[in-house]
Amino acid sequence: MRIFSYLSGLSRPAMVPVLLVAGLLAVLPPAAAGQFPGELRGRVVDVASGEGLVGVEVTIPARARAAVTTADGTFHFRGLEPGTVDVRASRLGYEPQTMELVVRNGTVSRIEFRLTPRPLTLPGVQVATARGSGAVLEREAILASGARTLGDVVATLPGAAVVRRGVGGREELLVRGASADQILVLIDGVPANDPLTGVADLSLLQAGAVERVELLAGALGARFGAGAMGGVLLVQTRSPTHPLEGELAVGDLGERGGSLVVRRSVGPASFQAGFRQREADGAFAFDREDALGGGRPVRRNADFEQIGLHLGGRGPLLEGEWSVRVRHDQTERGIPGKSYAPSHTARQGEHGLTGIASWRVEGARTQLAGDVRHRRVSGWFRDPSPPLGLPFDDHSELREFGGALRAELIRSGGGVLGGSIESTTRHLSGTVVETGTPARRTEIAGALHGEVSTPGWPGQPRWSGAVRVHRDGVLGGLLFAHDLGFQLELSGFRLHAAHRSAFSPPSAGDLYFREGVGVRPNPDLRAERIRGEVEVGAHRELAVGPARIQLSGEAFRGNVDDMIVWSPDFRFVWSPRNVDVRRNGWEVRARLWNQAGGPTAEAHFTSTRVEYRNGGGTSGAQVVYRPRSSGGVSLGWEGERSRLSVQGRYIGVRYPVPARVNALPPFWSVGLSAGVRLDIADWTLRPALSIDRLLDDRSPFIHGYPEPGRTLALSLRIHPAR
Amino acid sequence: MYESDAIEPGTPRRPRSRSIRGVGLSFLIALLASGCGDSGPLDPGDLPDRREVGVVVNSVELTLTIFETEDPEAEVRTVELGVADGTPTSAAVHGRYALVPMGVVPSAILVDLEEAAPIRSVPLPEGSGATGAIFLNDSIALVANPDRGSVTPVNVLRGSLGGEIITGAYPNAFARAGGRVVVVNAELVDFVPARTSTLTILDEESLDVLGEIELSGENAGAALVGADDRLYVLNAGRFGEASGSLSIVDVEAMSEVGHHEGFGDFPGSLAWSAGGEVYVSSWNFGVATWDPSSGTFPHPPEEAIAPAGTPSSSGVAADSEGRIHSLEPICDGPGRVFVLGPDHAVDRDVPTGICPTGLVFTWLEGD
Repeated sequence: MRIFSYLSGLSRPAMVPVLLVAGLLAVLPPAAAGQFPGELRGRVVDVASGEGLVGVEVTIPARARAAVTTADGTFHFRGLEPGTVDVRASRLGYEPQTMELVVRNGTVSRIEFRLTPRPLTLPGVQVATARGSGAVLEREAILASGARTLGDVVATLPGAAVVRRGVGGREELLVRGASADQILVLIDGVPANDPLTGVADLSLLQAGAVERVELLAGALGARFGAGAMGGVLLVQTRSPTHPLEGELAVGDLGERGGSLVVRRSVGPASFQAGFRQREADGAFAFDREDALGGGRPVRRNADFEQIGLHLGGRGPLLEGEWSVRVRHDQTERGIPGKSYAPSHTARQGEHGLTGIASWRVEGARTQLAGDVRHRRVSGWFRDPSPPLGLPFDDHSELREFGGALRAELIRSGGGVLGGSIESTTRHLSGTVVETGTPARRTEIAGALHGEVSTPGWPGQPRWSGAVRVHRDGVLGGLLFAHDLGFQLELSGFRLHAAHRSAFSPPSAGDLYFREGVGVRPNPDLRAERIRGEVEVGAHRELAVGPARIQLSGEAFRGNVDDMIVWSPDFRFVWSPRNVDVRRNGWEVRARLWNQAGGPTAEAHFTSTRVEYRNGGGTSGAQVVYRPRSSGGVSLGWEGERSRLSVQGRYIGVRYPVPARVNALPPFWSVGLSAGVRLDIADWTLRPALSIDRLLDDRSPFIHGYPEPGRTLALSLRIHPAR
Repeated sequence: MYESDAIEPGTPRRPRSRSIRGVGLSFLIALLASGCGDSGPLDPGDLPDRREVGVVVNSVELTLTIFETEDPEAEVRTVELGVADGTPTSAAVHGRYALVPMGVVPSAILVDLEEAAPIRSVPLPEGSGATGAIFLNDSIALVANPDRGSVTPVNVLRGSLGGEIITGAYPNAFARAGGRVVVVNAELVDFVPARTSTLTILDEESLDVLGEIELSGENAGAALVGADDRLYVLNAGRFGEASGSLSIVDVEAMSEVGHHEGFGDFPGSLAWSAGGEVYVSSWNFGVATWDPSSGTFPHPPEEAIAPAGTPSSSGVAADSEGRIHSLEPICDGPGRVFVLGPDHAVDRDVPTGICPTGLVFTWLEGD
């Protein structure tokens, strides 16, 4: 944050009230909306017989996506980031084939491969977008991970570090050293960042409601709008594949929950509805530090309950297609506080209603799409008897309206030219902001993007560019972001480079948080800026016998000007202020899998330096609670009816203060999940087991928020066999 | 036995009646309420290999800075307290040892200043608010629990606690005078003065409560013994009301014998200079001086000294030579200790960690 980036929620007790306020009112986005994922459906046939081919691996290297054709030769990708991509189909005995395709905003694209059993000369592989691919997790992998919340899901992605404040507590995403308020989270295209803090609380969406996540790292302001400083998390909620799906789950800490999702077709339209509930007592004994008296007190007031309801539909309209998604999420939970100053009475609650309606039409070379969205969130938090400080009882109400119009023109040869106009208006009220807070904050943005290939050039480079101009009605003036890049193939390597910028206006909390004793907002804050992020990367895919290997690496450098942090002044009055930060790093990933299934292995590691700048250099101090390194290793095996995976996550050294002192040691946490598929009569049952912190490690990301160690959960999913 | 002519920069808390976001306040309170520098023996020592050092509490950084008072070329050392949380604002010292109450974290950390390393963390009662400490001897110290209205005896060698001693509301600083231990109570309730300040008087040996002295000022947060053996207690007053005052107490007689106003807005600590003047620091005006012999202000808060040009100070203290040291109130980066000369110009500055809020002096052996 802002609030969280410096002494913040990260640990400074002085910020606890701010965090409480900020954290509990999840709502609207810091900026106008961005893009919407597309879909790809296709079929692979034998060129001679015309019959569908089963077991063909279809990959989209630029998106790190893969699928295998079914018995009729069909395949399906959901949630593709818009842009031009190469799609590759390969199967033993057939000549691999690569085809270029434009994935469009919110559109289902179709493609058919006709594989030949004899050698065939094809054009060289072309890669469409001049940027690195995102890290993706699909529905089955999400279920296999044993994740309970969106935060749990995201924590498994390469390049992501999720800050968790204990069981049932807030979960915030860090990417490449960027704080949670610098990561734009789009759930079904609707920003989920809280306008008070700029932070998206990933604990508020249950993992069971997630169809797919994709994490795009980098300064993507030109492509996605305000707030996309360190990256963008694209979340697609559940799209049931069966007419009826149900799930029951129980686990340690009194966890229990269930869900029911139905899907129906009415004429050409299809509808879905779902309900899910999850709760836990959350109480557990933990080892208190000797410095605080030792012993094993019980962590109390850590219970939570989440209820989610969603409705959706899509169908044809005016030669185009409409779609509607409405989601209601309700959360109530205790705020147990820090282990050395626990609260037994602090509670928070939130009711959120989100809806988006969109329509799109596409021609042979054009596409037009529009959407309107609304979000309404009411939150409260209170503690009649806090362990420190005064009782509080506050609430907030937020309403957001937004809309966007997008158009794209596809040129022959694969070039794309598109543009969009977006607007968002927010109304914020409640006891958490000053009485003089502007009742309305309107943001308007316009963006252009384009791509062009140069097939005659060595490596067949592809160039892309995007520019965005943004006006914030409160800050005034204009903010700009750009994204320039290219990508090419050389000697089997796919190389890419990009130069881009991003911005993030101050949140409502930074500007107007209600002044209290020693806490003061700062209406003079400037927007955070990344003026020139440079990224270079390479990707290589190898085949060694039946095994496939993907290797990729990226390096980046993008200083943050005017990063907003909360810190005390000489009077010990805490308020947000702008500071400059130097940021650079690198990340590597490797993935090994077998084309025919079986074992898989993945590893990733990220190193990021995020240091306060002073004068011409830096203080050498890593920004508070930003691990300088993080990573993970996962091993999996998947058979026809069973699966098993073990995942290890590494969080490096964190500094709880803005200096290189008092470091918290690094730690690993290991999780295990396993499941089988049982077909009984006309139904398929999928019992699963997941164990978090398998080795009973209890290291917290943030000091003072104890972890329960090893916890176990059992679940049972059921749906019709066909 | 420990001697009580300690130099005790102190820093009061700030009450204010506007909206407060619960827990965070306590952090601020702890910071502002620093019962800084209840110190141990300032044994000048005749041995030539003893050296005096200043110990700075860096509140945000959770470190101590140790510097030598006589040798500007000597290494300035930093001690990590080895914790991830806390709001320390003061320390008590006794020879090579320092005890640092951790504010919102109910513990106090014992530090070996010779080795520049923490020795152990002593747990305090839950919800202590740990601010202000004083050594009674080589092993026993008292730590104030402002949020519990008590003080706790601590055996720093064993890390064990004695029974809590109930005091007035919001105890946050100590002094020793006339064979007695004085607990300075700010008398805050919900961070606002509920009554005028009080002193709880304890027997030095038995720690029995001998009585209570009610003062005329509000929000007391620092005290030290003057050349006249009387106790000078600084009352911060109410935030924003410029109601700081100084109480003069005859501890043996258990009475306030003088009360002087005009100490400006929220003064935090005080020190005796070599010239016999009282130096008073405040974040809001810098360093004011008061002449106890005449009861006048050579430098009133309105014309306060601005160390290095900054009309603000987060603490003052004097070394054994009576040199005035002022802390630079920077909390978003490293600060400095300014050593003021007779003309109040900065003779020397010493780099500290982030947010220096407390300063005490002690003697170490060896080079």
